[in-house]
Amino acid sequence: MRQLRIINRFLLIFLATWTMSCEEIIAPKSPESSPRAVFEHLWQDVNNRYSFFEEKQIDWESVKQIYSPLIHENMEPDALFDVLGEMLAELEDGHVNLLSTFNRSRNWSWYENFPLFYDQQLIDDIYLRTDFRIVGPMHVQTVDNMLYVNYRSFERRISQANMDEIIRLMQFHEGLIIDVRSNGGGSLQNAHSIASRLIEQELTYARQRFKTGPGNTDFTPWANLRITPQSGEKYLGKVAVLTNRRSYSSTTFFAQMMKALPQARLFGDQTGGGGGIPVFAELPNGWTYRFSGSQTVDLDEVQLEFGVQVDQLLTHPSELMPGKDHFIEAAVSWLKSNP
Amino acid sequence: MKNFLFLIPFFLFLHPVLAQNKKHTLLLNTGTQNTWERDFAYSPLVYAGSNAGFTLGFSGEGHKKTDEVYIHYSRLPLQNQFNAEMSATHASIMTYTFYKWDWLPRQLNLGWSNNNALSLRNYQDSQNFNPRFDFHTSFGPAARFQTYFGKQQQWRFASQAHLQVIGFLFSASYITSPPDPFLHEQSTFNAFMQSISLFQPFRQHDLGMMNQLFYQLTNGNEIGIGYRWHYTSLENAHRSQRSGGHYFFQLNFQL
Repeated sequence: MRQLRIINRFLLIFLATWTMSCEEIIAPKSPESSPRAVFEHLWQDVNNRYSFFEEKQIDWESVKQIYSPLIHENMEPDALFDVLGEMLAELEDGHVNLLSTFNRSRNWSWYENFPLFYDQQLIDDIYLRTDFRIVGPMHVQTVDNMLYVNYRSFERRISQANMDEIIRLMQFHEGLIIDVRSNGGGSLQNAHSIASRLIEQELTYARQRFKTGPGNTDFTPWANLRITPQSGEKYLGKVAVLTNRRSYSSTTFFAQMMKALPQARLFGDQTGGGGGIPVFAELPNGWTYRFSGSQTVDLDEVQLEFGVQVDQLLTHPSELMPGKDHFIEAAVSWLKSNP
Repeated sequence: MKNFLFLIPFFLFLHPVLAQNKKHTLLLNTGTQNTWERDFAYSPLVYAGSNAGFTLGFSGEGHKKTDEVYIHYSRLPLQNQFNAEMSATHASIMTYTFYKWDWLPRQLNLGWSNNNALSLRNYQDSQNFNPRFDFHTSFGPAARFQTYFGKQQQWRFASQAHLQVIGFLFSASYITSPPDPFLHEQSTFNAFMQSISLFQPFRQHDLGMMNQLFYQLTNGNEIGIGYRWHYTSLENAHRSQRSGGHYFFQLNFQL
């Protein structure tokens, strides 16, 4: 009887010890990371979750037929990277990138073949000069009694105190010019921080939907995108917004917010687009990638992915003004002409 | 209504069990937790690492029934094989109810368990739709083996296990962190109700086990060591998997 008890306890201790480290015993093996496996994973995930195949009329299956034969098992990482990067470039989307420790693939066709009409040296010398104000991330100067606000990146945070100062300065100016040319985007929150001080009532400016499945038409229902007015002082006068082809992503959203504002007018060239929110993911070999996973349309159902059109197009060579920025000059004229 | 009549004998049976006097114990434990986690919505790679895990528990033991509640929390910095980082937060409320049946050996108890578990995964390299998450509430059978030994029976070894078979799941969507019904205009309640999916046997998995060895002090309190293991695999818009082993030191205070 005593021996049986000892055996029982021995079995228990053995069982308790054996069941330790279970989490390590059942841990999955690393996925296959051969060039073929990496290619298949990337192609399949983009096939399932990219949001603009129909709108851009891209046959992703035929893209696979082109790039798949270029994959072979002994290819070097940089060669694989180049093939995958070129495959992703077929999407012609600034929100699509492949990232490795040695390179970042991109497609910048949305601005590369277009004049930008933005000369930082000219802006610094003629308009901002040396005595401009620095209000958070914004460079601010008086131009012909208008408040000129130059905002270079939506990645840099605009605080409520920054906007309080802009609104305070508007007491001494006849109109507001917001220059977001070549602003590549960043946080949409900063766009809201500006727009919410320029409205008195909630404003719907666009509609958005997200992919919900692998089918090209698997999306959530459209949902309104709104700007809600902030508490505190507001400026409800005229606003001129300057954009170009390099105004992208959150800057496109900001341009659309301003377009929906009755007292605002867009000048210059259309924005570059970037209406899909980028989704991030990782490949079996540790490289990461991103791609658009949503769609946004304006109030007329036009995709923001293809850019926001301006109210006053200023891209004709005859409109250039030597020694001056013709976008700013056109904005000043409009602000002065219709008080 | 007829469908619920079977509950009457169940409650009649349960009443004497609930009415009995119980020994109440407060449990506190901490120790190293090793975890791996994988969310196919972001990566096929496994993220693994370890950190401290904490558990606060309560036990009520009667002649016929034992109730246990464990509230567990851990926040873990995990890495994949390429050193990319993910911050994992795990929180759960796990309950066990064990019944002492006369037809079973004295050391063996059978019962059921309920797990309410939240997993948040914050990937360092993902700038949008972060963190991804799963929350599930599930129920299933549980078993416990408990034996006393030593000259004065001052040592106690307990081993218990559970397997969740049915419940509900609430998790991140195909693309975004919030479930899809939260992405368009409707009341939060409706969106929540539409976001809940069934925790189905064989499609979702939640199982675990806990081994503990305690020494009873003269004042009735216990000190001990233990190992708690769990494995969860959930499939909703994407599959996510995780497993953890918590090696802990525990104090049990008689209340």
